Amino acid sequence: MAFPSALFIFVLPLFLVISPTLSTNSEGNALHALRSRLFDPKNVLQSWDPTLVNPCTWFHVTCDSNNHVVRLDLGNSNISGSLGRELGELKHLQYLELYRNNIIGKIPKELGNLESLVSMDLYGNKFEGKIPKSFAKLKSLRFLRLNDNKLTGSIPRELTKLSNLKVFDVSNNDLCGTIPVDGPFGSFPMESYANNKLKGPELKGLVPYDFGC
Amino acid sequence: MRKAMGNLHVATLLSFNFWLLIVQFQLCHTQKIYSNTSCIERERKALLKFRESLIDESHHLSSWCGENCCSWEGIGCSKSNGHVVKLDLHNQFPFDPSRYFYDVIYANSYSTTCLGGEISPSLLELEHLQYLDLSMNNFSGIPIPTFLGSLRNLRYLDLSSAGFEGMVPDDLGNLSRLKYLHLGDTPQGWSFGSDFTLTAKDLWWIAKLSSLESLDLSGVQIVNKGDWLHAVNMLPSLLSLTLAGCDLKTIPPVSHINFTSLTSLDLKGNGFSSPIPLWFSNMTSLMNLHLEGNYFFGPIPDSLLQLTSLTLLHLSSNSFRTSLPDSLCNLSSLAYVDLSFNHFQGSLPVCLGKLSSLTILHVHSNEFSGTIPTSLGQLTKLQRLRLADNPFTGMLSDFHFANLRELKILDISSTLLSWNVSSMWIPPFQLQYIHMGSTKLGPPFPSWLQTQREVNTLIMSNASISDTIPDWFEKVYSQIHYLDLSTNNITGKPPVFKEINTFDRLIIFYSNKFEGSLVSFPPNAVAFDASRNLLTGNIPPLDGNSEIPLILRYLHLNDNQLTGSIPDCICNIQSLFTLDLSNNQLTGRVPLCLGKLQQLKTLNLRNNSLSGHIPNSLGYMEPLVYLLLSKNKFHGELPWKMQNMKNLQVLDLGENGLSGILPAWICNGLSNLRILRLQSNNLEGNISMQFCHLKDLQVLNLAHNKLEGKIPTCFGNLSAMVSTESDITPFAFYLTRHPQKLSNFMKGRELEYSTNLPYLRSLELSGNNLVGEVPEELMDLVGLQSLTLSNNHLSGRIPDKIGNLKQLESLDLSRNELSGSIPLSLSTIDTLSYLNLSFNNLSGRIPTGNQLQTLNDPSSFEGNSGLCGKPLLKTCPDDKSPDGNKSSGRHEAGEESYFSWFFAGIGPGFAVGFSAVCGILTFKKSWRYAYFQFMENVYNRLWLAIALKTSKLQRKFSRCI
Repeated sequence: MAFPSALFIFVLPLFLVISPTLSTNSEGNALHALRSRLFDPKNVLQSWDPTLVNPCTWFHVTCDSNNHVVRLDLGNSNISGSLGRELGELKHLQYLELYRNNIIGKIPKELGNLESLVSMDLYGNKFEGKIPKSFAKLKSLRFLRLNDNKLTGSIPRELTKLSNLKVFDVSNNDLCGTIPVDGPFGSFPMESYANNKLKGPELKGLVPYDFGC
Repeated sequence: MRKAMGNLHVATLLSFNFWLLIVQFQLCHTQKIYSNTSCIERERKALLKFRESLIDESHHLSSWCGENCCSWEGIGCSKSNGHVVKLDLHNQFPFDPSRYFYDVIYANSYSTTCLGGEISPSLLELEHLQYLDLSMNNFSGIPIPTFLGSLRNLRYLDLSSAGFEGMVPDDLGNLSRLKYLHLGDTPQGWSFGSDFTLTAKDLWWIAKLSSLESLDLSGVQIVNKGDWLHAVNMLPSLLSLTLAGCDLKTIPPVSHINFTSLTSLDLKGNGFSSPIPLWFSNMTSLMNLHLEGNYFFGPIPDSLLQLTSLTLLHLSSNSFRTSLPDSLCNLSSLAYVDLSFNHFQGSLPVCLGKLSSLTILHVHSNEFSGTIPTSLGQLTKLQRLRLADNPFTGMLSDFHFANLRELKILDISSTLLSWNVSSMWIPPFQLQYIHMGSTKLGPPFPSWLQTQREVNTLIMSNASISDTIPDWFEKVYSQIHYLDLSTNNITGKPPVFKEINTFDRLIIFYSNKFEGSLVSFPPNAVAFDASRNLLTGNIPPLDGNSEIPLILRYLHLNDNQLTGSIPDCICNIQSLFTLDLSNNQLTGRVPLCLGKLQQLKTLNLRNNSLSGHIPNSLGYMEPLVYLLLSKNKFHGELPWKMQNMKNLQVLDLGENGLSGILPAWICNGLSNLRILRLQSNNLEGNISMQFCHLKDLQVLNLAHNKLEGKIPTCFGNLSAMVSTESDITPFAFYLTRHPQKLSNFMKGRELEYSTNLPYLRSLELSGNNLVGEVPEELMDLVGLQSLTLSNNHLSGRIPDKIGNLKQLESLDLSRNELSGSIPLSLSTIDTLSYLNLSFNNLSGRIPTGNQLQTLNDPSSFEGNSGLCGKPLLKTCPDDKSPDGNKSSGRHEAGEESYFSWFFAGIGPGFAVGFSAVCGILTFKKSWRYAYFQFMENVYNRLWLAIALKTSKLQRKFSRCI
């Protein structure tokens, strides 16, 4: 077919429209990635449709008025599997409620990126490995419950910087070393540390905090 | 793809009528090859008798008149002795399986062209018959006549796709001269969807047909199939073997095969689950190999790669999880390669470019990766290239297409490929089908598309195009059949389309930035979706040309900025299934004539500025399933005619100015309702008990009206809200192109639900004048995710059984007159993420528990002067200390608490006291070791003593309390 090639020399100017940054559904993607790691026998995650513009109508997910995810409520939901680094994408998350499930593996250090977090309830699972030092970045954290897991290692001293921490519970794990005494750690009851291999309070200058680890 | 193929053969009714004309014209004038020979009377009579028992609706056999039966339609006589040797009555009407199943008109036309009835034994008079073909007819389930086994001279027998049913008679095994035996079903397709199934008890009767060259038993169910291969192995002359869809399951082992001359082997759809057998290498003449639709796995064996005559290799829909060997390229005759729908891995071999005969290359829906070899550009005969749905990466350049002059179909959708061709590129091909959806195509609009003048399908959805639609687009693509530009950032005026002769035109460009007004609807489109753009102006008038039947079924103009009123002419599109004009700025009244849209299933006019009454005529739209008119300015009462809308599942009339008594007829007439939203109107009266009859109701929103009286106790019977089933009937979203959106007030804000709507169960009665107690029966609605009763005058206690609502995510009972304590059971709802009990008269301690301790916003409880405990600042009278930070989300603390905080103070003391010692220890290594050894012992002993003492003390202390 004959098409005048001259026309191509004057191909209509193609305006390169610089698209405004599309509000991508990164939080939805993160949650969807989480779903793909989890086994969900009770089908509590069936409403998690990744094709929606945001995850705000997914059950067990709550958003603020800007459609940012602020709560993830999956306590006692019979889910198993492990967590991944993608949870760190939920920059506006305030409540991470994953208590009393069968989640295994390490606590991702990326959870330390959840700078708005007020409450992290991971108790009653099968988490192992160490408590991430990155939790020291959770400046708003008030409730941190990690009890009834299989966590090992020592309580990171960096957590003493969490000045808003009101509740801290690591009982029934396999933690070792000594118990911090600085910052909010001066006021937590002893029950919070029960059933570990902890060696008593930190004797500063005398005993290294990972004494006995 | 089916759509594209449909487009490729645009065989319409017109051609059918034309064909009929030709047939009629040929009546009694047929010129047949053996027409000069005169006919033997006995055979003529036998043929007439044979015809008598046939049903011949379209008069194929009307030429069977006169003395010379050798000149009749379908009859052939021997030149030497005049005997009838050939009877060919196969249906010549072109059969298209996909049309047959989806196009009722075509299916009916086809059916009338079929011969039916009985097969008369008078055929036995035709002793010299060598050729019998009754294929592609419809004998409606009669068995294959046993007497056919007595036609000893038969060489050719074709009864395929002719509607025979039942056992295949073993007697056919007596036809020892048979070279061609076809009994199979639908030879073109491989969905063996025929109503009639033939069965054979085994295949051993075939073993006697030693002259057989072509055998087709597709779709025949074989009862004893274990040794099928051994029976077939008795046929050394076999050239073509087709056993498609016979459900053979296994390929039995054989030591050697006898049918080494085979040129065509078709074993598709048999459920074989094994590697490809080694004996395949002995079929050295094999040209066509169909193995698709099985579960073959393993590597592509060398045995296959030695078949150098192979021209067609169809391995689609198997379980291959291997990479392609380079030796595949030695099969230089290959013309048709289909490897789609497997798990093939690795990259495409570069040497594929050597397969110079290749016309079709289908590798889509695999796990191929890597770049596309540029050598593909040397495949001068390539017509179809489908790379879609593989994680291919890299660039496609003009080299990839350098010599693809014959290419008609190109599908690179859902790959990670991007384009690197100059804006001046003139491709060598003229494509008909282009699918580049879900690839990185943009940002500029691909300018090479302006050279493509024969395209009937162009799919470029979700292709990252951010550009103005080029001026040439309308010129080049105005006659396109299927266009999908959705989900890009294309700006400019929406293109205008010209009339074409088709019944399946789809024009889709939702989610772009097209602006300006719509000039016209695309003529003869079935679906037109311009939603979610920036379109302004009025809804265009329909074209005056009444010649074209209106076949538009889906019209989506929602989420634009359209103004003006809804034109009356919309009512003329009586084919409409879906009319979605929501989220525009339309004004004026709803056309009264809308009731004429008798096919309409979805009417969405939500969020406009429409006014006036809701017309009574809507009540005549009986098939309507979704009626969404919320967020407009409608006033007046609900038209009572609406109770005729028996199929209605979603009725959304919220946020209007509707008034009058809340009608009870809703419950009687609209018994299939799943979602009822009447909120924010001025409806009055009581909530009728009749609402409890709505068994499918899962969302009820009557909030913000002027309703009075009590909440009916029978609400506990709303069985859809009682159900916690997770497998819920989805809404019939297929009726629309997008799931319909609905907002629901939940968790203190308005949330817009679409695909999740089927899962939602919500009861909202807030903002009325309801009195009385919260009925205990509401606590039976255990499927509820949201319960909102705020802003009423409800009194009494919160039912103790509130903890039954285990799915509840949002509970709002605020601003009522509720009293008493908050039930402890509330703490057992693990899903609760929003709680508002504020401004009631509640009292006592706020319960704590797993989830309640995360709902720590004091505003949830404020305005209840009697409440105390966390998260309020007010402590309860029986609290030990205001600082009792008990974490209740844990098991009972261990009884043995090793030490007390008192002793923690010792630490700094030690530090000061021994700082001098430490100084020495830092510098003297041996002292250091000794000291720490000592210290550890001391410390351990000290710690033990302290621990013992502490626990004693503590026990004593707790006993005192």
